[in-house]
Amino acid sequence: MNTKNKWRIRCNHTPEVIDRIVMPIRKRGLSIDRMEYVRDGEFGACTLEFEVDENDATRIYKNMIRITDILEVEK
Amino acid sequence: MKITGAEYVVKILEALEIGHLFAYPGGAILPIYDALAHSTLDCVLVRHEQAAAFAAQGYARTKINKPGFCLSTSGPGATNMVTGIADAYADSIPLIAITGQVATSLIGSDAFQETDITGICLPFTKKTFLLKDLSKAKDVFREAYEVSINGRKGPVLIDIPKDIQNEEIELKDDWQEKFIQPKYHSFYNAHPLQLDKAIDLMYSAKKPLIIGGHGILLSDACQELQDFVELENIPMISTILGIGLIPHDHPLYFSWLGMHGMKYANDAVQEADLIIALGIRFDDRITGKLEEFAPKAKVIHVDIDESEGSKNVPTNVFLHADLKTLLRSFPRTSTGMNTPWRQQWVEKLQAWRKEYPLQKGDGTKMTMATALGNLNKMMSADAYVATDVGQHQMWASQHLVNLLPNHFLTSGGLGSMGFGLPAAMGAQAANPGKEVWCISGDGSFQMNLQELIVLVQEKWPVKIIILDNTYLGMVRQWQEQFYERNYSGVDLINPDYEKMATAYGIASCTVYDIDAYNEAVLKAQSVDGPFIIHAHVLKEDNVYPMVPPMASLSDTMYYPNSVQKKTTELKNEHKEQMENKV
Repeated sequence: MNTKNKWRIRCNHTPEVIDRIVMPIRKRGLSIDRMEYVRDGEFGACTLEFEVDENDATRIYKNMIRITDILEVEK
Repeated sequence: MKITGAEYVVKILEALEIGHLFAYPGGAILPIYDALAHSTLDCVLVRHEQAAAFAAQGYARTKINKPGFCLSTSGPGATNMVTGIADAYADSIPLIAITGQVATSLIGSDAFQETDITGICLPFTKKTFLLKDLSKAKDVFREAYEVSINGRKGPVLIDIPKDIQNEEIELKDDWQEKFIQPKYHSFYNAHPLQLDKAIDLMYSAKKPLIIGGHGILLSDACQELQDFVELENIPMISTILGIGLIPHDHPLYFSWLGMHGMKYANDAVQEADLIIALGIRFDDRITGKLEEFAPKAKVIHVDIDESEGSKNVPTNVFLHADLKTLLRSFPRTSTGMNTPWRQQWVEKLQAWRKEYPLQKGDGTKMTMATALGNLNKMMSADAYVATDVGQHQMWASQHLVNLLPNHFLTSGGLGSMGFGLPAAMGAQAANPGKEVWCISGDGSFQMNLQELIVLVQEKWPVKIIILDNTYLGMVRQWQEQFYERNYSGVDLINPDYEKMATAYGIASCTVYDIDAYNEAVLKAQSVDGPFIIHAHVLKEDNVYPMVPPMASLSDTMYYPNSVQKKTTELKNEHKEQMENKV
């Protein structure tokens, strides 16, 4: 069953980091409902909303925390 | 002093003491090649950029905390490296790929040989850089190096536009003296409560089993592991990428598990009441059917990558640390109570090993298993072996049992055919004077055979065995077992490898029987340069033991006579599952 997710992500602010945040969702053929990214000096803060099956959400989380420039994912 | 960006990059590489640079030139990387002509770097001209990435991996796989470096031009040069980069990501190999890019002003104009290589590589790199500010080059390279060797190791890509290579920069004369080398940082973030829980589980387990993986080798923790295993008297098995982490004949080592692992190793997993997983990622090739993996066991998982915790197999305790640091400080858990339990468990595994041994063939038929078993007895004690992918890879993993840590190079996660020869080149470059073997199949070998000429040019005495069954053997095996012997796209007509070797100026021989093969191995060892043994082997031979795809480790098929009925049942089950999936 699909559930709505709203995650807050803290990351290093780099040219590729938004692509990397989206990657674990995109590679499953899923779409993002809403995304907000704000630069804060050397860091970035991203809010991400998407709808996904619970098992997929766990895997997406695992994929996301493997990314070097992602510092924290708050579900 | 004033130098160009290209000269600066080359000088940074020199300062990083990178050893070898495996590379291929082209338009967008010409300024760097111009600078390389005046450099002390050992720049190896490969014949295909994919081989540059594999060779850099071969180099890195034999070293500790030292990335391999490869370099190519933009566009097709860069995209050709992609498989090698993805392979490094799958097996957590530190690699730094440098690509030339079209000039900054042309990016996005669909210029000649323009590709978004940083974008292409995002899913299988730890980080990518597009170098646009030359003053940051030193920091970018240092960061790339540190990212590649720290945490879970892996590849990093640095893309350098041509105008940045041509730009000039003013540097202080002493910048190289002040250059700060990248550092490896040990890592320990295991929570004390989780550690206590792990210790409790180990105290009370009656049948604990250690599964050691590539993470042990990557964190240089082989001695710590052996001390741990011996002090605790807990039996251990490994993954294929963990081969060599402990001597194969160690009484507490019970070989490797998985699809073509030992039946007794797979049975041990299914019977264990505690799995202590050290530096493994529970790949589907080792777990088999996930829901039926280790059904009786609780799981302690130690890994440097937090994202591996409960990713595939639910873990009871996850310890986030590098294995060297953790194993050094792990308290002893053997007690008067659990010592006899552990001893009984070890004895049970010893009995299983006797009951279900690896079958080595009768030594007379020219099979891959016999050929590799004989090579195992004949190769030098500190030889390096690189394999390609397929049946020969599995038999090599089963029969080459005398290899030292980091001496067995194989593409485990991505399973890239064409890996063997360039990886052997990298291993030879990193370890001059050592015996290096490339074990390949007739299918795999044709994927990067153009690199033979590099052996001649660099005078690398790599010894090559092409095990030729005129088939894509592993695919044929699956078609035999699971597609009703409907052979499709597997029949190979091969070139005359001996004539081909002659054309490359490499000594070689062709053998059809085991006596001639043994002589050929001795001959290969006695010649100074590279040598190719083209060995014709039994055409339709299958690798066993085998866990059929999507089956449980409990369904490990031992050898054909003992499993005829089981094979049919599993084949039908597999067919049903495939149909359901479709």
